[in-house]
Amino acid sequence: MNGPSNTASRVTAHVLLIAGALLMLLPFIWMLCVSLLPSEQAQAATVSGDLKRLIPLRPEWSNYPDALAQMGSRRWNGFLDALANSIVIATISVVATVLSSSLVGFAFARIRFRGRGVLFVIMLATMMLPAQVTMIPLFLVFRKLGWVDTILPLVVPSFFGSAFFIFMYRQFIAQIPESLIEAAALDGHGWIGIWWRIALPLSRPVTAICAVFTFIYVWNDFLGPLVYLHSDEQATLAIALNSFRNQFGGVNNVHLLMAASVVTMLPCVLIFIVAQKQFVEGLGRGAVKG
Amino acid sequence: MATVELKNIGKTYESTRAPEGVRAVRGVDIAVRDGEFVVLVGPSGCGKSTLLRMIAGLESITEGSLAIDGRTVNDIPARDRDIAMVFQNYALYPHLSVRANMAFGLHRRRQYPSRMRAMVSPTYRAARTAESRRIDDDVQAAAETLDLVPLLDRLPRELSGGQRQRVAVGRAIVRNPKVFLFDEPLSNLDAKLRVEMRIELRQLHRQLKATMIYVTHDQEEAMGLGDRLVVLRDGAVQQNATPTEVYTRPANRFVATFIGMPSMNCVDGRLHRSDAGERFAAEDFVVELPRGKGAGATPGPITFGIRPDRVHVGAAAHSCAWRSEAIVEAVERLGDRADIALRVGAHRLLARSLPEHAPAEGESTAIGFDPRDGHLFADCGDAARIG
Repeated sequence: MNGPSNTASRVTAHVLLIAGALLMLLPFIWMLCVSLLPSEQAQAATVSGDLKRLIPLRPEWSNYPDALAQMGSRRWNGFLDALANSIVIATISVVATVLSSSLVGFAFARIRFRGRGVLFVIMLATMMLPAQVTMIPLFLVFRKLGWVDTILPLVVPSFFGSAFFIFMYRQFIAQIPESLIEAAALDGHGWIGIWWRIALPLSRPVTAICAVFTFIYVWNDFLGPLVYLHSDEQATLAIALNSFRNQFGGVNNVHLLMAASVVTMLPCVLIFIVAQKQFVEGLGRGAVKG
Repeated sequence: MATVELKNIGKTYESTRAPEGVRAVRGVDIAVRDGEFVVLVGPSGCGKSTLLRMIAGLESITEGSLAIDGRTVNDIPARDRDIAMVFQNYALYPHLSVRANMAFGLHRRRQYPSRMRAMVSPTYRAARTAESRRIDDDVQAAAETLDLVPLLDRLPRELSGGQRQRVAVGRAIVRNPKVFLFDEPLSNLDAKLRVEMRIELRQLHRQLKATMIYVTHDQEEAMGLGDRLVVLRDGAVQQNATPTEVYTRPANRFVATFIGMPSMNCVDGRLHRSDAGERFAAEDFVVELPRGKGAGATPGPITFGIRPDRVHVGAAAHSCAWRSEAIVEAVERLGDRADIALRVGAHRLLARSLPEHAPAEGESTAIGFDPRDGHLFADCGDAARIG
């Protein structure tokens, strides 16, 4: 029912939500503004903390090419190599994680086999292990295989699924009516065919979540590339940005650092915007329903 | 088309509460002839859907053997039995159009080169294109049969319940399988649409001359559709006969009361035999039986049954061999008929008449029937039919 109290509560809710959103967006806004400021103004705004100085009255778009050209050891090529490496690693990881996690989740949801319950619990238990615990043993394994200073240690594990996404796929696929699976079986498909043609297409919301989360994680991953990628040509954007910070750190080049950071962050934002509808639908439709 | 033979089929589910397991189906022997329309009917939980799923290969068979066209298929997976099934909830793939739904099974079963091969070789590409065209033609033909052509490019969520059911049937037809299985396909439709779809299914059966096995709990639907009815209860076959025989000569009390709406009037009493003849006697209810009616029974406890459409009231009762007076308890006027509940002494009997001949509620009226229309059932065991 519409009424004064309802309007007031709606207005209050919107004000609070907008205020919260602005608070969350503040670091990003600060970063964007500083990236468009001339050098002196950027330094002054950073040192003084004066918000009025943050406003780029005459945006310096040249900060962006200046920053990107100086990333890495070779002019422009450093940035382009890092970008290409990041794209390759992220793409392979996303595709591999989606395919492997959905396949395993489908098996847990639909195929009855001895020990399914125990295996599922063991799989979930692997989520309890911190990455730091397995870091050294994994490094030793990959070094033995001769994979250090290649992207293999960063992409191959994606082909074995992620416990969290396996769980999400399992929960979602369990909700698909059994009759659809049976109809596909009667139409001549085996388990792989049913997974590929029925379960995976119907799991689009979970796939969006899996793809977005995986992409963001891999794109921003710093520790993995730091441990396994040693040469400049193999560096990802996270490593290149860190090198840039070490080289041009301090207040003097904060405008360039922010410009490089914005460029590094941009794909994650765009991916989320594109997949937003599926993302929210997946979270709302019980993709994470217990 | 094909024959289907079930020999001593049984299904036992493991249970932690029952060491011997839960028997959902036991000792089922059914032989479905080529082109026959057989209906499995029974109350909820009688095992009819379990039986159908065992035929389809969606449930394993615990005991007995199942043969399709003479080939034992107990261990053959569902996808290799050449069976098509129409599910209660349609089971249409929601992300595919009607056309793609109907073609789904064909793409899997036809032999033609893969996309990868077609990309590299013109010969393979031509073969793939030709087979795709054949599939399209088959889908088009099935769609025309079921009046689905205008709907081919729609998604299932854009269709009504009746349209979805027709697409489900079309998806089965286009595969040209050996056997069609229907698992209560009309139960989600409204009454009017159910009647229309029933007629379409009968026409389809006549047109395709296909072997069809149909599951329903609706006895009216079963009587209207089947060439033969298999009545099930608690996992066991009660009667396997034509609809007419099931209605006029039910094998036991359960079949007698399950088939027919309203269900058969049953009165428990005793059978008396003397030199004068046989007599059924219950409190306030005595029927002189025709000679030989109770020939298979020993005198003692027995059940007498008479169908409501054989019980007459008012003037029509005056000419009946058995007559009495009854109090009219309730009258349901259903347009083309009236169902009347009458009290005869300690017993309630149901009768059916034309609405204009139905007496008023509360008044006394004559009630009568011909004892030859009665049925006798044993009072023990499966309450089997005696006469």
